[in-house]
Amino acid sequence: MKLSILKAVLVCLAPFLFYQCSEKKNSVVGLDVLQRENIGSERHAVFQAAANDTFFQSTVSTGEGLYLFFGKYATVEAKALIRFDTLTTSGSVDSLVLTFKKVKTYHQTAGTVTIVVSALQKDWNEQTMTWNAFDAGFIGNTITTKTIASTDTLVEMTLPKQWAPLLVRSTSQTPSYGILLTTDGRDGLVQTNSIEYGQYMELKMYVNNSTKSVYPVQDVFISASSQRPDPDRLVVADGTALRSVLRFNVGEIPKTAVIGRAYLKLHVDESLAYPSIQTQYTVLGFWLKDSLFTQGTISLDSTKYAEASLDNKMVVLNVTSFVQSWTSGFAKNEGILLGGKYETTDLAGLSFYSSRADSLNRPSLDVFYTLPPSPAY
Amino acid sequence: MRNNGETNMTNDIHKIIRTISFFMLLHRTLIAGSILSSKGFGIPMISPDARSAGMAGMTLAQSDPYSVSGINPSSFVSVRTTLVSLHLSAENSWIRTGDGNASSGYTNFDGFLFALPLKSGLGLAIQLRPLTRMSYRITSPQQLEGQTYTKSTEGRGGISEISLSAFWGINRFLSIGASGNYIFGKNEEDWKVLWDDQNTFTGSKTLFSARHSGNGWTAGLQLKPISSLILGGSYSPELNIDTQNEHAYYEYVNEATKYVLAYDAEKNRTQFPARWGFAAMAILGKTASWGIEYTEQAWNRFSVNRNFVPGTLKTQRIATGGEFFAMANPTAPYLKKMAYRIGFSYQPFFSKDRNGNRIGEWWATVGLGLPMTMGLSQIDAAIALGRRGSLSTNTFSETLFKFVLTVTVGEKWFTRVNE
Repeated sequence: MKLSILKAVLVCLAPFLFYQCSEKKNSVVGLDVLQRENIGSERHAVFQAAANDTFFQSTVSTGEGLYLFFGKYATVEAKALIRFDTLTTSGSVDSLVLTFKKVKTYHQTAGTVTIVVSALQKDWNEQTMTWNAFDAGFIGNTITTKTIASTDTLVEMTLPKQWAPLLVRSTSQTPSYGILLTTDGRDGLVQTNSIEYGQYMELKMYVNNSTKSVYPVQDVFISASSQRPDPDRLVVADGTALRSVLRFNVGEIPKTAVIGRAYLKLHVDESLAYPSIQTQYTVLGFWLKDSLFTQGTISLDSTKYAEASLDNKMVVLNVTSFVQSWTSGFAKNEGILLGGKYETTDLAGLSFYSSRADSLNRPSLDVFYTLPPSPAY
Repeated sequence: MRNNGETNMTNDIHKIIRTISFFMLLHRTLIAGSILSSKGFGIPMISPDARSAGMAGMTLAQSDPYSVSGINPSSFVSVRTTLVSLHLSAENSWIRTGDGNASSGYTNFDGFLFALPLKSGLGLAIQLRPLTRMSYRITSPQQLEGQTYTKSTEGRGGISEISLSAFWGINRFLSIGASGNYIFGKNEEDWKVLWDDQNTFTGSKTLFSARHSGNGWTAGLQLKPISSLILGGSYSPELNIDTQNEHAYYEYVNEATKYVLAYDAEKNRTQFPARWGFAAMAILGKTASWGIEYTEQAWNRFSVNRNFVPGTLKTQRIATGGEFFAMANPTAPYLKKMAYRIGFSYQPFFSKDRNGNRIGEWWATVGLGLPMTMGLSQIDAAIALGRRGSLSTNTFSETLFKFVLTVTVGEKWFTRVNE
């Protein structure tokens, strides 16, 4: 009997030991029981951009884009340069027709566009040609003009046949510099396909009663913006390569803090938006490596960037890694450079409210971070 | 000579104990313990053997050939055979606060002892025992500006002491002993914040790691002025413990994906407070003993780099307990060959609560001593029920349950011939 009682007591201990082997049980006890400083040290802070935010015009090569743009829209003006291949057949040219597909026409007010074809008279290269490199010396005589409606999709322009020797090359002739496509300077921007798109512009010639086609070997669009610096706005633009720089002083975040999330929030002024071939304008935020931008030189780390598209009148970039690097001391906080993702292939832009705009619309850096607790004594 | 029934009963009991011990060892889990173990080096531990644990941790005046704790090095004098002793303990706590309840558990080895009696009452012993233990985990859901996350903190480790003791029974009235102690150990505490929105948020982890080393000594004596009274006392001076602290701050996804953001290290010297105590044990004929013990440790002198740690206090522990002896008659029924123990103790926790109130700690204990084959080995077990803190005064309370098992082996071939 006594043995049975003893056995029962000892066996009762077994479930207790099994219980010990169970998973850890999460406590609902408040952490404040630990009596430690910095408990509940998760913080949320919103930083305003420093007042020296601004935008500037950079230089990019647009020779590799899928599209060519020419004409004028709002503050943007573009020109397209095309150089054709060599015509190897000899003989007299009876007629000359330039044909290309018009992808889209952008207007501020609906209307027609008058296309102007001019001869180029200086050599150029699509990899290096920029608006700033283009001067009046490039432009030769006007070859022809044509007015098209916004509904036209195929453009055919008959060129005087005497221009044929200057527009195409043959092995026995000096190189041709090609043609320049512009408009008459009124409202209207034309978008067409480039060599990279694969649907070529075509120069048809009738030589000795047979049709010969010549296609471009180089093309590029160059563009510029007449947007004047506005202290209330930051601008980013593809094609014209407008970029913005802004900085946030996050020095109050301690070095040992872990950044949970940092969002750069930019409010868009839609009245200044440019057209875009993209369904959504996409902004890249780059990590600036130094502060030389005031001297006209921007040094950025192209491998470290954040990307976000326009959504509900805002662009929100996740710059957590930037802020973490600044606060941890891995990198100096030189600010963030904003640029368009399709800077070399598109002609579009956005304007953001700057640090001097209405306080509700200013750029802000929204940061969640965690401070470590003080160690136990 | 035992009869078959008694032998079977003994075998059954041993089988049950072996089974329990097996599961304790197989599923050893260093899991959450007291939230108070986040303080200092962790919760200070007395770590007595199961015999003393059954009598509320009274160790200073214990005199038993098979059960010694070594906290008073002079108590080794009563050992007659070469002894190896292993302590196991399992502890559960149920925590109550105004916010809710929680529970946690802990199972581990709690010490090792080897004693070697030599000639003329002299002897040597080596012992390993924990001085503090840190083991806790707290997880808490939180919210910040509409973003939800889980914050958790987990502490583990503690410091242990390895002691080399020399003891001498000068005569039948007086025994003395001294230990040289080497203190070592490591504490780790990590804090994690894991945001529920893991697509856009990065978690964090802070790891505090501290390696400790130091040395010290302990001296003790036992006095038997009359055959029915044992007086004991011991003293350990303040210990200087050198600590190498390392703090690492991580971006954290999981243990396989984490990146160090910052790291720093520093060295500290911590003064672990002196401890002393005395006890008296009365032998009530051949059937029982009863005693009382007082120990004191000046935690208010606990300092880091000579800066006293705030919120600490001098702890005064008082314990009382007794034992009904096992019958020495080999033909007695097995249950009468078992020893039965009981005890009570009180002491304040070494640190005050956040409001500056003392945190009381009560224990009630019972224990058993189970003789094993040939009477040279013994298994002791103790169960302790404790309460730490008060919901009304300290805003939290812990109900503690502890099971201690000590296996002592003293085989004949270890015994000195001239004893």
